[in-house]
Amino acid sequence: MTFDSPRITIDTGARRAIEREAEAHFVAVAESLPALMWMSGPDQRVTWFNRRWLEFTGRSLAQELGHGWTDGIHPDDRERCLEICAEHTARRETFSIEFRLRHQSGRYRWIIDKGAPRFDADGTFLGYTGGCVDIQDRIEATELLRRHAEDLERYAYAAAHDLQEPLRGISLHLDLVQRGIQADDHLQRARDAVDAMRDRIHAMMELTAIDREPVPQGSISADEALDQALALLEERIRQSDAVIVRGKLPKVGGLSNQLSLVFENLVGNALMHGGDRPRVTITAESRADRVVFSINDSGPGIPPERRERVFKLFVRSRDQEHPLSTGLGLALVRKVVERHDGLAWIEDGVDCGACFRFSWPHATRG
Amino acid sequence: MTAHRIILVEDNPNDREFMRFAFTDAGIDIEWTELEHGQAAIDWFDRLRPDTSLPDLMLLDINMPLRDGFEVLAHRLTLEDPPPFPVVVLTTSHAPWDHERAMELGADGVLTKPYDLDGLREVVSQLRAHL
Repeated sequence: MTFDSPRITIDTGARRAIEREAEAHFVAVAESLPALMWMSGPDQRVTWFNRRWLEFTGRSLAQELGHGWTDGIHPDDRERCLEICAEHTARRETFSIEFRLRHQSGRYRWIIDKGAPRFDADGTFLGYTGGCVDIQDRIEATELLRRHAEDLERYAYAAAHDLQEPLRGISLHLDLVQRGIQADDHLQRARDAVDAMRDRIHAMMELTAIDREPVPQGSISADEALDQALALLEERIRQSDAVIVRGKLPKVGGLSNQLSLVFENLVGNALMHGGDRPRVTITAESRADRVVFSINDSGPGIPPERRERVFKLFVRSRDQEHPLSTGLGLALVRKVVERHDGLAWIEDGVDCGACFRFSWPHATRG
Repeated sequence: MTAHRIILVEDNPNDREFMRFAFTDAGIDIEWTELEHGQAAIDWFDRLRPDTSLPDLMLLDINMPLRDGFEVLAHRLTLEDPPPFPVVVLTTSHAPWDHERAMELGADGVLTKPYDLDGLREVVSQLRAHL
């Protein structure tokens, strides 16, 4: 079967018109989508980006066209990314790559880029059409979830282990009471172990409650938060004959009850490990982006290699059998501080002992 | 009969007392050396001299401040000439991986801490085999 040439000419013209209309229609759709879209020619040079792409990278069309856009790929992803593109182009296959692309903020964000080859009606390869979706939030959420799952697993294991210890003590003491072996003494010690266990459970409940309250904007008095903490520690301060030295503390942001909890645990820790007649110094220093609080004790200090460990759940730095040590206090401190986008760490004390420091947000208006 | 010598590395004073009680209860005379944390045990190993009189047994807790029992076992492995007395781990943990790790680090036995007097007596009868 043959066609006469005029008929083909008309058809080709009509087809081109349809193709132009289709392209205009595609561009209109592409500009309305939340995705970052692009089109390339057969030589892999990109010939078009949608507005979303340019808004994302913060660069001009002229900068991005051709191979210009590849400047924005994270250096660690670049080679892999371009290799996949080239391989798939050679085979004219669709591809999907995840890589980090520089955002206009200067930070890199993970995106997933899917590209599909285009052909004309004759089957000639025209290049690729692709769209990218920003998956940074998803990746961060997944990472957060993974860390939470890990924390939870560690927490459950450590909690079970740590509650077993006083429970075993109670059980053994009671067994000896029952058999009439130094009954009075063992009964009292079973009671002490019950108290220790109750404190541990209380601290565990506080730890799980931290995430429930949202952190508001505004201004709170760090002095008042410290007053509250010291009031709760009054009996212990009196019993240990401790000296508390406090500087003037500023107004800060965040949650007052949680700041108070941090003070209570750090001052309590300093009392516990500060030796005879402990001396605890609480000061604050205002830095550009944060307020840094310091709680300096008069104990033997903590060697640098042990400093990270003490913030972990159920780890006691020393003097493990101190009846007030729940092994949770410093984990709780870190959790609260991190929730306020701050850091908690340990340095050598000014004259002696350990100096616990944490950064906390400045007061904000509102 | 002379007393056996045991080094007890245990931070929990209750557990130290339970252990002393259990041996007395079983009528076994023990001369105890008590170390309150893992660091003290590591220091003890480091101070060993050829003429140091060795104990019959070391009883080692795992969960301790400063250095834990695993670190003590690991330290013993690094010694050029490890002293030839057995080290038995006594732990609260029931977790098989903790027991396996202790054995991998060269412990001569792993026992779980007891909940009652019968359990305590069982521990003593097991430890007796190492004396």
